[in-house]
Amino acid sequence: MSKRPRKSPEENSNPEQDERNDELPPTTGEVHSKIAMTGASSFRGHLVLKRLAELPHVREIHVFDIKAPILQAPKIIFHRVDLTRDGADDLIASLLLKNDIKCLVHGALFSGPGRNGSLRREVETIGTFHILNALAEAKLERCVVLGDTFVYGAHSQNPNFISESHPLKSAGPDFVRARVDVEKQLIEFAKDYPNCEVCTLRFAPILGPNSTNVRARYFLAGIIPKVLGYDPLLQFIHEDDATAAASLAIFSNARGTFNTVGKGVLPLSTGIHMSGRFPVPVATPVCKTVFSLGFMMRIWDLPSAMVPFFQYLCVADGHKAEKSLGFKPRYSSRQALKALIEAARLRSVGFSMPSSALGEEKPLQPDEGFVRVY
Amino acid sequence: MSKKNTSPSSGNTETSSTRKSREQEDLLSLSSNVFKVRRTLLEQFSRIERDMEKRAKMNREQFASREELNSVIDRLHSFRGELDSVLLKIEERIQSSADSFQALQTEPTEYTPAGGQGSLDEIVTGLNPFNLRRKYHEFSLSLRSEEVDAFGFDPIFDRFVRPIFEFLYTKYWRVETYGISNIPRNGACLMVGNHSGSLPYDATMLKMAVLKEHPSHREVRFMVEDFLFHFPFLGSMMNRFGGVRASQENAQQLLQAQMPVVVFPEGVKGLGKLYRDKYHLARFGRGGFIRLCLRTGAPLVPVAFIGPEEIHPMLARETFFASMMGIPYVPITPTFPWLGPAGLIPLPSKWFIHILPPIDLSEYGPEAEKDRVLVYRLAQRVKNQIQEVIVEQLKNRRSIWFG
Repeated sequence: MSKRPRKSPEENSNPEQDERNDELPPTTGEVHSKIAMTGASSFRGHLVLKRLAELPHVREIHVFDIKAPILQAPKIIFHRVDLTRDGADDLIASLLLKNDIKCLVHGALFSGPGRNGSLRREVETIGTFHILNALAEAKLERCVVLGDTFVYGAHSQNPNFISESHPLKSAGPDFVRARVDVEKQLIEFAKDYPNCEVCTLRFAPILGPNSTNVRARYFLAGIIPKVLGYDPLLQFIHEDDATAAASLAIFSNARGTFNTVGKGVLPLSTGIHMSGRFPVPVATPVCKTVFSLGFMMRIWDLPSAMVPFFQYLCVADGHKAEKSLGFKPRYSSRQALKALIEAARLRSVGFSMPSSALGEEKPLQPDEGFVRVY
Repeated sequence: MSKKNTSPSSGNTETSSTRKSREQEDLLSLSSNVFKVRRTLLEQFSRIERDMEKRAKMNREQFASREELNSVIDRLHSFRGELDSVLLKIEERIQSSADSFQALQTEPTEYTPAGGQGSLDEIVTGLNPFNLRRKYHEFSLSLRSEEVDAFGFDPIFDRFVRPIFEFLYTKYWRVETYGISNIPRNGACLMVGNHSGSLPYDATMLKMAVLKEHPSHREVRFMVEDFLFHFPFLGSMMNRFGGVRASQENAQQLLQAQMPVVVFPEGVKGLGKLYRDKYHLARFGRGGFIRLCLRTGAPLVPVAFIGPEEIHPMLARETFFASMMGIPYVPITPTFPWLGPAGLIPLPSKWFIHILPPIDLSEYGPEAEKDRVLVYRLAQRVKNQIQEVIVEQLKNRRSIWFG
């Protein structure tokens, strides 16, 4: 069974130990020393993996993926599993049982619409199906899912701040519908298997010095398409905050769904002016055509399914995460975008910035912050 | 070189002055030459620096580390600084001697200082098409706040557009506001009014009234109908000076944030009121505003607007082309489709805003929101109260335009 390495009654009397305990998540959850993970090669998964590998009380991290993670460490144990294949659930379950793992982080979900839609749909819906089967078979105690706020969809009827209890609409673009399907599977699983704590985090688009998702590429492209006359409020989360939220959720015993978002919002046009790129407004009637043309010609990575996200609000309310999970974002949405833009400018001169604090309280020293690319 | 030298006999003055002016010209030309040398040096240095950075970027020059690149640039900088200071000293000395000469002469000299060159340079760089984009972004960012409010309110943009609304408030519609003290000094309150006028001018005027005449100059948020909020340009602009899309959740969050909120329960029916139906209040929704007040415990302040019903006298509603465009109606007024965009200018009627005493609904408790009968009855009561005030005021109104 997993132990709590630093929490014994004798040590609690020691003030120094108390301080160190404060660094650990403040919740009462089991401190798992063996953690399984899927989707470790994605940007978000990579950050979480790095954070977990740094923690001293985590002994083993089992990664289920089709590709070995870039991060190499003795703690990280890689198992080649294709989530879309039949029998993936049996394989994962046997590995979980063999290694006596009680906690799984499911991160094999895409951050936006890609060019290979069928693969994305397979990995998301069938992959989650297999993972949930494996969880049921291996009787896991905890499952943390790294989701996104775009499951709410960008609809004209959305309130300014969407709470977790807002009904998910299975309408709209395919990448949203696939994720709504995933969320429904998770809710059903949580109802049928109450012994497993399922905690779903819905992240706002993650921006930061190293993010490469659709939103990041949007703000760094040479020309930025936007919908003429529409200026919705956007919400982002800094990658350090995202990592901190994920590690908080893994080591807590919170159940249910949490929106993990950055502080504040900013209008789309302010973001475009901050990036200093060339905005190309497209009138509403021809919007879908122009977006999909640019997508086909590989000018930008925004299919026509993304158009409503540049027209209507998709902003989530993060109060529940602050109340029950104890997650407080340190960066605002504007700061996250600013970090992205500044890092891109530095990269063009030849310097790269690491994901700085990786959820730690201590900021990086200025000389630590820069790394030469070549 | 002061007045002592100039004071001697008047016979010599002409020759000495010509000599001195020649000397001064020499000095000035020398100084301008030194200035030119300094400028070319500076240009050369900055060119070298740019070149080095470019090379580092293209990876043509192999610097072992950032430190090495930095040290080279630092050496360059120090050398440039030394040269610059020496040249600047020489230039200053020449300039001071030239200035002392100039003090003697009454007539102005033709010498143009470096400022002229600089401003010309500025103009040239300003016209540079690659710089125009930066200027555009800088200008646009200067009209926005660093951080907007959670609902998109932008204080700097609000200050930017305020003169327009101030003009409309004081000069154009000559708004007279009564009972401003009925709006509480702090805490949430829900203002409920009669809606009219195709665009939410009434909401903005109430916002101006509270901002100008209320003792604590509160910022009011107003609820905007869906089709207006999602109208290109209009919605995003209204969002930036305090408009929020009308929905129960938004209003509840605003009230919980202790803000004064304006709602128009008539909604689109009120906006698209025909001229013959003016001042006859439409149905007050399903009493959602009463439920809001019961839930949040905020006081309800009824507001009666006299005047905005005449700014766009709508003769008919066109719905065929409107449904093709995805909006509920296109207004047909004596001016609108016929005069083009000029027809959208509202008429200058005289406005009165009557703010009625607040109604405290907290006595019913938050449980009462499930009581459908009570909610509907309260909504009817508020509607009748506003209607009574409107009728009372219209009795005493002599003219639409002068009140």
